[in-house]
Amino acid sequence: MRASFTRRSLAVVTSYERCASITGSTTCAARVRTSPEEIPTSLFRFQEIRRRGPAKPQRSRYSSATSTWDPQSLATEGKLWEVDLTSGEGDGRRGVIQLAGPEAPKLVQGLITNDIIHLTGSKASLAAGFLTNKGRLITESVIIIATDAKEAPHGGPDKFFLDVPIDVKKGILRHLRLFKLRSKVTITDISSTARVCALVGLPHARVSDLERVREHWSARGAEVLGLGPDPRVILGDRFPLGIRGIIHFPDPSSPPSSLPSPARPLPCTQEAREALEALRFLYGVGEGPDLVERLPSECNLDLTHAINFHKGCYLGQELTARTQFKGVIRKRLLPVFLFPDSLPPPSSKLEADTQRPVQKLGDQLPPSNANPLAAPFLAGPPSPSPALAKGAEIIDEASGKAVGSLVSLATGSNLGLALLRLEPTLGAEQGVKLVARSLGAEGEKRQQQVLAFLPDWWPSGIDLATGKIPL
Amino acid sequence: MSLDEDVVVTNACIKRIKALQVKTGKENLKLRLSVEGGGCSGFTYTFTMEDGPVEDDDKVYGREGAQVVVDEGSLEFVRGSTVDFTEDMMRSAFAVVSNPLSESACGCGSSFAIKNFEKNPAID
Repeated sequence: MRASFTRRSLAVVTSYERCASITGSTTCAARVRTSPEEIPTSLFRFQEIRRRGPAKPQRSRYSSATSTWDPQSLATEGKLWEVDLTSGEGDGRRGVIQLAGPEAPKLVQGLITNDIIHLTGSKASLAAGFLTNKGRLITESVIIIATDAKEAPHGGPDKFFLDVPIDVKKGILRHLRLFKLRSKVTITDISSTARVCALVGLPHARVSDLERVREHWSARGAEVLGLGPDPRVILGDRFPLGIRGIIHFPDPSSPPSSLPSPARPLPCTQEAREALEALRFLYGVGEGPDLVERLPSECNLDLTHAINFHKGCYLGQELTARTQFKGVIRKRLLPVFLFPDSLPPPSSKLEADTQRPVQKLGDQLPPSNANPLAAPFLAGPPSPSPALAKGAEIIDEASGKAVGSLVSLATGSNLGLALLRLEPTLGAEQGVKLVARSLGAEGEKRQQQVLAFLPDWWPSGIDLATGKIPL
Repeated sequence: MSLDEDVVVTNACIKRIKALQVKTGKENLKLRLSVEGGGCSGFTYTFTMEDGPVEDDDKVYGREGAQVVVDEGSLEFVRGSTVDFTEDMMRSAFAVVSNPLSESACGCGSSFAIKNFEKNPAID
């Protein structure tokens, strides 16, 4: 099914329930090209709703068995984005902390929301959150097993890397050292010699592609210290956010020595960087300092496979477990598009065009488009009207009630992540017009329209009243 | 029981250590209290019985031949506490009660959080 996305259908996407009842489907990923003058031809895709009962395996929807995944050939076709997340500027930068020693898994097990025991050679990466004892996020992290790790005496790998936002690295190092006490762990910040790199391709990577990626980076003279799929978004057997590696890319200009030489950045374009960011936003995956002090379930850590509700005690577990089993998640981090406020407000229902076949984001996209992933977001001016600041309040314009706030803003597109109350924004019978307001540098009011939607890959049937997936 | 001690040991605790000494036949049996990272509030108390020699960085408390040993690192987290042996319907166990440095503890009492977390001298 395909729905044309016009001005008239703006209402629909802000009203998820409505849209589901009309089309019998849930909102899927969106491509939107914006220009200052209009909201032009855009494409919203719909996927079949998975009715309750035996779940249909997602595999059939997303796997294409035919494609070979070869970084070299994908790169020549322009379907590969390689990003060095440690270099560059801004919030998206990542640092690497290495933990090694027989008690390394034990130390981390008491501090993370996920179960480190599951980090093995065959499951080389885990998403996890570090929480305060009050249950708020210190940071999210991707944990990647070291290539040369062995099993520690009490289970778990004896060497692994924490891929953490560079801005919170100091805090997390402190946190680890605080709880280290006398345990046999060495905690090393290796951000100056190693870097976090991501390789995102179309079609999406699979676990079986890891070796090819290792060869790809090795062929370019890099030492691959750790490698795993980005564990946060999983579609069947595929990983849309690509493959993440902790690599050391030696600087040939420095004299050889026994010490690890300073790392050279992996060449990557700003476009690739922005494409990966846009993709992450579309999938509703928050990252970086924007999440600090927020609650893990509100930041979708439960949906991004970062919380294990079956493991033992960890710091901050009480609130996290209580929320899951007894409480409600009223707000969640949702992807949003920001539009100029001057455009007419949404007024009509969705008209779904069921005749045309769907093309899912991440499948083959028009061949005319050299950079199919990035282009829809990066084309045109990145921001249609004066930029809003992070933390801008989001208001239901009709009632004047605050429904959330803007948490993250993409650098190269009009995408953002907003912490929004689910019921009033997506559950409304009629579409609601959401606006984000913040003050500019000179105290002038800035306002933009906000269009929120549920990421397509979330399990269908998310209960808007409780924010949880009915069991 | 003197009040200026870093760690106070209750009579019940002394009695239990002595009982264990008789039971195991090891006159030298001591109770070691240490603090580790872990549990839902961040730190946990661990109790072990040992009969080896006291190490250099250990502080020894107790009387009448019953000793409670705390290493210096752990002491920074339990200074001013009372070590007790509790017997109730839930359990019979050694326990740290009224730790003045503990800000909050989890339901089962085995893990706790530290006040002035950031300024604790035990943290480098």
